[in-house]
Amino acid sequence: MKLQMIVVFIMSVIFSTALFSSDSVPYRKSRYINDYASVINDKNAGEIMLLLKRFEKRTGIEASILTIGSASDYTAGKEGVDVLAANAINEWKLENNGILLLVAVADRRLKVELGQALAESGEEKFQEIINNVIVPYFKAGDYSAGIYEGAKAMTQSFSSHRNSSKTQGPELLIFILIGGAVLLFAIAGISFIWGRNKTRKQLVKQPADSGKKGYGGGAVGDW
Amino acid sequence: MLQAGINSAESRTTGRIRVHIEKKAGKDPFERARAVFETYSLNNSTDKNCVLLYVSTADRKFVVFADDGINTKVPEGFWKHVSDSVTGKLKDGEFSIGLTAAVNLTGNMLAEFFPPVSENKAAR
Repeated sequence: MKLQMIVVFIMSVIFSTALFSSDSVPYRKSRYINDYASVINDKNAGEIMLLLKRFEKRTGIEASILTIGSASDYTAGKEGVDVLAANAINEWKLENNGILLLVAVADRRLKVELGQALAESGEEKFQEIINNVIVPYFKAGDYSAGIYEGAKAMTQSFSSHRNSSKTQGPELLIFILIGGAVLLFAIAGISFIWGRNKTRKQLVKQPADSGKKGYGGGAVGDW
Repeated sequence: MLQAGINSAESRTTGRIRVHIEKKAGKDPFERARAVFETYSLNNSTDKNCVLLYVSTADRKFVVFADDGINTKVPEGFWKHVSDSVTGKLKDGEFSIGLTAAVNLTGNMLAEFFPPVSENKAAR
């Protein structure tokens, strides 16, 4: 009986390591850039993040860049870069209003996967950007500049995107405005009532709190 | 090289960058960095745009700590990128190169959101 338990345990350990030894799609550790192939230089990385953040704010489109060595390193990529990109865009929750730019350096393959909202309007535009902007840089071996220039061209080419979603009509806008105003008043009312009881306490408390924990941000790393 | 990097980065922004290197960070390097941030009075800037690059040599920890003003503006994942970029260099023992790169990266972001005052006036 004991032996059986041990065998089962060992089997399950072996099985689970086999299962997790290669991921289905790359892990999305960062919102805008996941440079697993380490091809994007520091300067471009900062610029690309800024570009994509502003682009997202302006258009609502969430674009993310992924570079890897070879698609076959991932279980979803055994059948090629295209399948990996299709899986990754879903896994990364970009399938509706997102863009995934996948570069598989060792495979010399580049795939731009578009979310549903952009699938129709975007394909032609992107093919142009890929052929005329990105690929020339890639052929010259400069992946970093290619991705940066590609991202720049994309943000310019899709900058009118929000306007198209706005054409849903003024009714929606008015509805949102009125709804927003009502909500604002409600919140103001509640916080006013709430505030009357609390203001005095807060005034005393605040100086002690400020400058203490809870502000700022950043990151920690080991080496 | 590092001082020159900081000077050049700070000339492009009203933000400030400090580098602090010490032996031990203690249990929580992030909190330690925050304490150091306050020791240098970096938390008192009007625009809340100071950044501390903190290194603990014995614990092999790097922290980038940014005040709210700049922290709320940078893209998600940017500090992680700075941290990854620096620790990659620190692994190879290239302290000066790694920290200078971090200063440049941070400086670029600060310059983007907090340009020098004269430039601000010109823009108006």
